[in-house]
Amino acid sequence: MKKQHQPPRLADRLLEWYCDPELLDEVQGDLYELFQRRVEKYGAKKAGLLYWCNVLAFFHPDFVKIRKQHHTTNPAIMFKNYVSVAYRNLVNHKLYAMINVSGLMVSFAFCTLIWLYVKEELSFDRSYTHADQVYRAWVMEDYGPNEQLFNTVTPIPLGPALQTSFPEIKEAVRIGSFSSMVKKDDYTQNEVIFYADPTFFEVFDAKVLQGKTDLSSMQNLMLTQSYAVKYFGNHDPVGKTLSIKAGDQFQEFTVTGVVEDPPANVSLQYEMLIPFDNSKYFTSERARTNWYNVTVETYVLLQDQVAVQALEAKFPTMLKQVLGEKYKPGEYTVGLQPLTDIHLNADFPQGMVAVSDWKYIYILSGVALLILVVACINFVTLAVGRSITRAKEVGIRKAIGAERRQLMSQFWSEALLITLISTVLGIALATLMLPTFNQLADKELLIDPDPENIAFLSGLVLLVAFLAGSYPALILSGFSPLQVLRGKVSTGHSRETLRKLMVTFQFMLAAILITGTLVMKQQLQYLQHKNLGFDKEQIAVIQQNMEMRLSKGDLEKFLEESVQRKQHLENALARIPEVKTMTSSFFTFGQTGWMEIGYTSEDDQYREFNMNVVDHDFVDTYNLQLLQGRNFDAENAADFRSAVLINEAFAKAFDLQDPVGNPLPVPFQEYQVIGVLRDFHYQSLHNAVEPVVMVMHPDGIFSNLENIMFSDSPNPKISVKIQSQELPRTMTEIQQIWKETAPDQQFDFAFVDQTIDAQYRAEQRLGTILNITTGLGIFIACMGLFALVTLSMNRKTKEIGIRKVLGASVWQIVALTYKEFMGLIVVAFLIALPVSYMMMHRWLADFAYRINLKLPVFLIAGMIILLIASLTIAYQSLRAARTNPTESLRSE
Amino acid sequence: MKGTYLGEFEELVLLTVGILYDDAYGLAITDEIENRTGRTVTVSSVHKALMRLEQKGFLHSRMGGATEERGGRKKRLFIITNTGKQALKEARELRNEMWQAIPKVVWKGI
Repeated sequence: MKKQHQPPRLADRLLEWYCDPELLDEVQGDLYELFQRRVEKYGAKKAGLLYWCNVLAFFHPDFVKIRKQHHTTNPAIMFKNYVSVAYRNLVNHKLYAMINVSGLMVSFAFCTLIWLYVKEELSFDRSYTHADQVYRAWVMEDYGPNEQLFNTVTPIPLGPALQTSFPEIKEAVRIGSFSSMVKKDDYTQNEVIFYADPTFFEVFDAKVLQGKTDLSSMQNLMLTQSYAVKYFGNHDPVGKTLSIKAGDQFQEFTVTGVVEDPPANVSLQYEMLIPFDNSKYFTSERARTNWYNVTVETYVLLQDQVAVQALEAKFPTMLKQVLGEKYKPGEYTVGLQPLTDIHLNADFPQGMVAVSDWKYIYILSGVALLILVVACINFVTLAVGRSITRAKEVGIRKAIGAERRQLMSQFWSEALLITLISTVLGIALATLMLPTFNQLADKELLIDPDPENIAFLSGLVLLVAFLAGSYPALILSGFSPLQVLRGKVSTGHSRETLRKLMVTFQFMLAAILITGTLVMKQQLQYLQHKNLGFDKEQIAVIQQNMEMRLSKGDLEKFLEESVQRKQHLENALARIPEVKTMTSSFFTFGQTGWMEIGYTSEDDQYREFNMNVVDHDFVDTYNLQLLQGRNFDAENAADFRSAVLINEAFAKAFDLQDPVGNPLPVPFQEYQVIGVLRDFHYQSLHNAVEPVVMVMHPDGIFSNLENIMFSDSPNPKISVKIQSQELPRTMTEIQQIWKETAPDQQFDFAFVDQTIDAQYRAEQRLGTILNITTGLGIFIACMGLFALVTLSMNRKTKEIGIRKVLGASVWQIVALTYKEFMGLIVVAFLIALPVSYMMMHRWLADFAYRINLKLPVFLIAGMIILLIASLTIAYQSLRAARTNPTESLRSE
Repeated sequence: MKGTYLGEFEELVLLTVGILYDDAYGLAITDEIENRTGRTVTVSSVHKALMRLEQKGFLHSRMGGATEERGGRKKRLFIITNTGKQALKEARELRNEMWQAIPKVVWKGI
């Protein structure tokens, strides 16, 4: 038999690829004949070359075009069939359908919510016309290690100085706020009022609803829509007046215009706006001219095309001019932060507006993506598990004449159908979860059918349908009908490991989440029940609204007034037996902190301590423990002027061996220590206890300090200790009396224990989020396991059948399944253990006071995981173990 | 009639199909044309012409005859349809008429 040369294989395949099958035979046959002839004449090599030329020459529309026309079988015609088949599939296999749909539904709901959140966060401050050219100024004072003051609140003179010195700056606008009383007719209320430079609306444009934007004269007032309605109902407020307490008296402000409420995704939220020059009523002379006092936020609008860094580089020259001799390069720096950067940048200190963090966006997006991917994987796994059953369908379809492409479109349509159903349900679920989500995220998101949202959802649906449907579409459609109908279809062993890996991964996540939730619960409970070193039950703190006058000349009068008010109230409340003691102090408990005093010590070191201005009743009202010495004595005049109480931390930090009877360190030596208090937690348990000084007359401290920082408003508050069985009734009585004694002040109170609890609001929120995420994680992990077990069971039907025939009991078979999968779970848990330990350790490190991470927590988490996994496996394995062997072995 | 114009090459192919009666397939036609005209003709151009001729209705084809030489693949065998025969006749008559029309003067000296 003469050896036959074959034409070049590649050329042949090319021909087979592009050529219309109907014409293929004749063309290929002719070329083959030619080839053999040429082999004889010219030899194999040349024959091969000429063959290639021939193949390329045949690449002509006549031979190729017809093929495409041949495939105009319109998929749309088959769609109806696909839909009914898909529907039937879902109905006949409700369990699988439900698992798929619920998994996808939950993922979609989650993704939708997170999309809305991320969209809003990213859109912050972008709605202004000139948003790209607006920057906020920051100030950094650097006097060496431990003495760095970084602020996004700036000195008052900065704005005008920037505007006059730099033509690149189109407008410089300052904005500050204060809390004051607003009166209309008989109605008085505390409001937050903003004062801003008249050019404010040129930088932060807002839609004018009535009147015009006019802050040119001192008594002008701009209102937002909701506030216009609040004070003037449906009437046109333009031209009308409101009285605002500025300084000592109420002053009349005339409404010049009403603007739209600032949208939710804007940092500057204001309701009432008055011209900047009114700041003279709320700030001291020093604050208005001094470059070392920071009071207001300063925003600049740059001209087009200005390079920010180049501009910033010019600032030192200006600073040298205004600061004069005090200026040393590097000590005082001014910079610009883009407006659009403010909301998400957690590296800058908070100015007047709350700030979020890029981290949240990353984490949330990551979680959403993860959930989506996992749901898709579960979908695919289930599809694989059912592929044996579907294979018959595929075989028959192909035998009747379905093309591969048609099968692919069928499977993709099925996936699309399931995805669409899941999406609709998912959106419904998202709508249900929206109120809770909004509460957690502190937002007011809406599920709007606006083009962006629709585009996002459509994209998501298509993507998921494509990905999830890929396995059936690509793999199932490739089955050869012959093999399928003989029952010899394999289901990809190589992917078995990958699937096991995924399930292990999912359970590891679930384990971490469970541990996290448990630990967090423990920590929160610890925080809420820890002894703080003072009494916090039934103490009502009443806010006052005094005019703060702390400068040297005014301080005396201020303290006098403060004492008088308290005395007045004390006398009035004496007739209520439930009221035990009262005290007036600058700060109470549950606030962010007290005030921090910084100074340079004798040996030229910069040191700090915290301070509160109190009266002699403070220690009793809050039941602080005296370790040494005594409390303030009301009768002792010297006490009032020069006595201080310190805490243990202070004695330790300043190395005072026997503090009682001795003066405070220089330069505060005019004060004498009369007692040492046991440490108490005046800040949240996030922070350790620092040195504290309690004084009645702070003049000596104020005159000798270098730096002072208020962590919260120092407006004196009156703390009333109550012992009552019927708290609400007592409070009403107190309110009555308050109205009589201080009619110009609102009765604004809060209970100390509630305020303190609120300090851990962030943790509580995190706890709720974690609970939800854990539930989700467990749900999805179980689904993944379920899918995996299903797949395994389906593949092993014959094996199980044989085992049963050979005498295995149902339970033995179940045990077999268990062994296979529990191994995975245990591994998952073991991996999760160190990871969750590390994560929890790091989170707890944020707290100066925390629980210890002990074994029991982890064990409980482990047991929960095992229990859940067992239940999941139980159903499927029992079912498989109970099938009649005659059914599974039928085809042998 | 437009579209039924018979190109020169197409005419050649059509004639060859007639010559190779009942064994007219791509390669055979190519060989025959090469032998008779001495021109180098590619098998692809012949196939294209055959396809056009069939589309115009001048040829009719059927599949048949898978042989060992062709690696087991069938050939497409062509025969001329009546329309095809008509077209050939008309072409020939047109040629003759134009020949007749040439004055004898032109042929002197050949």
